Amino acid sequence: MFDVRCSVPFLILIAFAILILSIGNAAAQVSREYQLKAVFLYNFAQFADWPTNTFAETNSPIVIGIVGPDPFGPALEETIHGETVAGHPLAVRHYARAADIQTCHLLFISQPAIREANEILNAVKGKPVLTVSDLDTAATSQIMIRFVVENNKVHFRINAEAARAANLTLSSKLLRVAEGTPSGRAQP
Amino acid sequence: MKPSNLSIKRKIIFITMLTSIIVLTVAVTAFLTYDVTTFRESLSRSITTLGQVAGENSSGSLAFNNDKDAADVLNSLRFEPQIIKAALYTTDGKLFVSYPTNAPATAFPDKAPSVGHVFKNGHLFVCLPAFRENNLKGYLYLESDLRYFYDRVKIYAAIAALIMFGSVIVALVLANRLQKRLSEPIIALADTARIVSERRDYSVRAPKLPPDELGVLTDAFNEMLARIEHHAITSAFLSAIVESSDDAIIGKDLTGKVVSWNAGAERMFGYTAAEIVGTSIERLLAPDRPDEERRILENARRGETHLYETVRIRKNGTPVDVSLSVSPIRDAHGSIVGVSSIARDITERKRFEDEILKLNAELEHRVQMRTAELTSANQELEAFTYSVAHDLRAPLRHIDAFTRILQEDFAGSFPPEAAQLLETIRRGSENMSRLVNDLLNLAHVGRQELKREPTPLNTLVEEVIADLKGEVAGRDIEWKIANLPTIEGDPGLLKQVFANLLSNAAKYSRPREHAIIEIGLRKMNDETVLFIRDNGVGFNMKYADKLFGVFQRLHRAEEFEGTGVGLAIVERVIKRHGGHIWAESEVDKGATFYFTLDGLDRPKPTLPLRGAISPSTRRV
Repeated sequence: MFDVRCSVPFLILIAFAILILSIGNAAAQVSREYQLKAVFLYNFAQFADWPTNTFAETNSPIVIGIVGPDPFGPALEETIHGETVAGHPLAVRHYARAADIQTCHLLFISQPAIREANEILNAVKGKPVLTVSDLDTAATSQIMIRFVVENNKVHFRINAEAARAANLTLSSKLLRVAEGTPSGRAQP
Repeated sequence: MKPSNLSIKRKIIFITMLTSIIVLTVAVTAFLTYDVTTFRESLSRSITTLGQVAGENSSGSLAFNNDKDAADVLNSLRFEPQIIKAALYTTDGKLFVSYPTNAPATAFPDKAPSVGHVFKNGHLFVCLPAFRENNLKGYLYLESDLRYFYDRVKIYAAIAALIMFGSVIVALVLANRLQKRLSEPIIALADTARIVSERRDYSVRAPKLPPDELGVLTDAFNEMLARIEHHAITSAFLSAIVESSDDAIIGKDLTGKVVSWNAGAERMFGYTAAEIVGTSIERLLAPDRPDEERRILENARRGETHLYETVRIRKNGTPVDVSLSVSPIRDAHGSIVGVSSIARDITERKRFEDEILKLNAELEHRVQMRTAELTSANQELEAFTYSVAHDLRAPLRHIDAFTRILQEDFAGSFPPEAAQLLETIRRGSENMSRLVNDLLNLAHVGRQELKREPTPLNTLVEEVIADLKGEVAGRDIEWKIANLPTIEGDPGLLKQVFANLLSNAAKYSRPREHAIIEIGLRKMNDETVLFIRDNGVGFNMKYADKLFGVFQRLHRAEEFEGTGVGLAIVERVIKRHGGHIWAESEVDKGATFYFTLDGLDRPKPTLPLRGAISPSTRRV
């Protein structure tokens, strides 16, 4: 994995350099993974339903919070730019650590932040926040959606019980395309 | 059955069948077209709906790039056998997943086709967008095999063909049954017409029908037959009359061409009908009268009927005298369409006419000769009678004169018997003298020129009665005189008539104590007749024809004196006045003399007379 906390021009520079050095394949792959994950984040918002009182107004934004360093670069902003989900625009917030977390609807926990997963989960406990983790580890079993990368393909696993406990409804279509962790089955 | 009968039946069946088949074809075609159209629409709609469901279902797979799940979704389409291919394309148009899984990628379009549906080559191609919450996730491409659809159309077409076949059979059976109601009256009518035309039998009638159009037609046909029948009978009578006529009866058209030629014409002119009908009548014309036929035709064309006497030439070249009655023949509308010419052979008549003329002339000549002979004999006889009578008067006068002298001068010297004889001689000579006078009178009446002047008969009668006064003195005679007319005649002669008749009446009624003599006028057998009636002794009708002969007497002279010439004179005078006289009587019951006179029927107006002119009764 690369350090994703570099600035965008830097990233582009690196990518350009890698391209020139004909090892751009790896750099592009990294970039593609998070581009895909950015699209997935946006899509999660479409396949999940929040309780109606979650939004102050019918056009209040769906806030995507990112805990820890942002691995998406401009990809997420580009993906959600101008898009709406059921009338709600989308917005991105960045939180350095668990203590910084404010009201949000979808919370992405980047790889470095997984260390304080318990704190983060506590911070959003009882709130209708769809939690997404960049990795699936033992520490992330209570996180509702966990990305998995296998054979260069991005998948995800779902903890449907956690989502139900948070008063969130996930579309059956989302559940169907998730990788086999039926709801209620405890993760190791 | 006749071919014509078959034909009308066939026509009706053909028309019925044609109509049924056309109607059925149109109906079935419309039905099939409608069905195919709606079925295609509903098919594309159901495929589209199916695609929308599948697209919706695959939106997650597309959103999260899950080809396995997408393949599952597409695989679920296998329950719809019409769908033979399906594919999901990503939003940027790249092929994502295809169904069936074993199909090569080349079987699908490289890029997502434009959204919509299209029928092509027996397949339905549908392309739909797959959305999640109004966000495009990709495209679903479906290909449906229309084989099921076409199978269904084929089944429909087969059912339609079956229905059509069944309907046509039913229509055929129905038409075959029902056409009889139409065709049978027509066939009956046609049969009747055929019998009429083949046998010329106008007494047959078409069977009576209910009063629809066919009924009206049949009635009209029967009515027409009745008229033709009547016409045929009349016509047969007429032709029989024409054929049996001795006259030549010839029909010509207005150009002079022969149209009909009867047996009389064949006999008269020697041409048979077959020879001359259709040719011009001109071959019958006499060469010296070339213009005649043209003139005859012109007269007929003007509508005039004329009688001609002319000459025609027979087939053997001999002439025949004919009288022609030529009249125009008119059609029902009154326009002249031909000429009828009735020719009668008048050769015989001409010959008789000539003969009669000759005989008449001969007879005339003979009558003249005889009349002349008789007239001269009569004149000689009358002259002889007159001269005898005239010559007898002198010796009679001598006898009378000398007998008187003897009686007067030597009355005392004769014995009474001689005086008696002398007296007889004298009366005999007086009688003879009277007889001679009467005979002279009779001769005179015959010879005398008749005067014609108005003669009032009443005046005449009065005068005669006055003259008779001496003769009837002392007798009771009732005269009944009617009002008599004035007529044109000879007053002297007529007076003699009345004198003779009235003196006869007075004479023969002498035995009656009360004599009645009536002079009257009456109508008998349309002529006015004068009559003189007495109630005297009368006479036996057996001798009535002798009454008016000279010297004919029905009574002895001792009883009633007379010469037997008086009534002969009367008859002669009346005859000369254009009348005649007759008498009726019965012995002892009186006699009536009737006579007519010229002008009695149209008398001169009676001149006003002194005294009564009404019928009067008077005692003398």
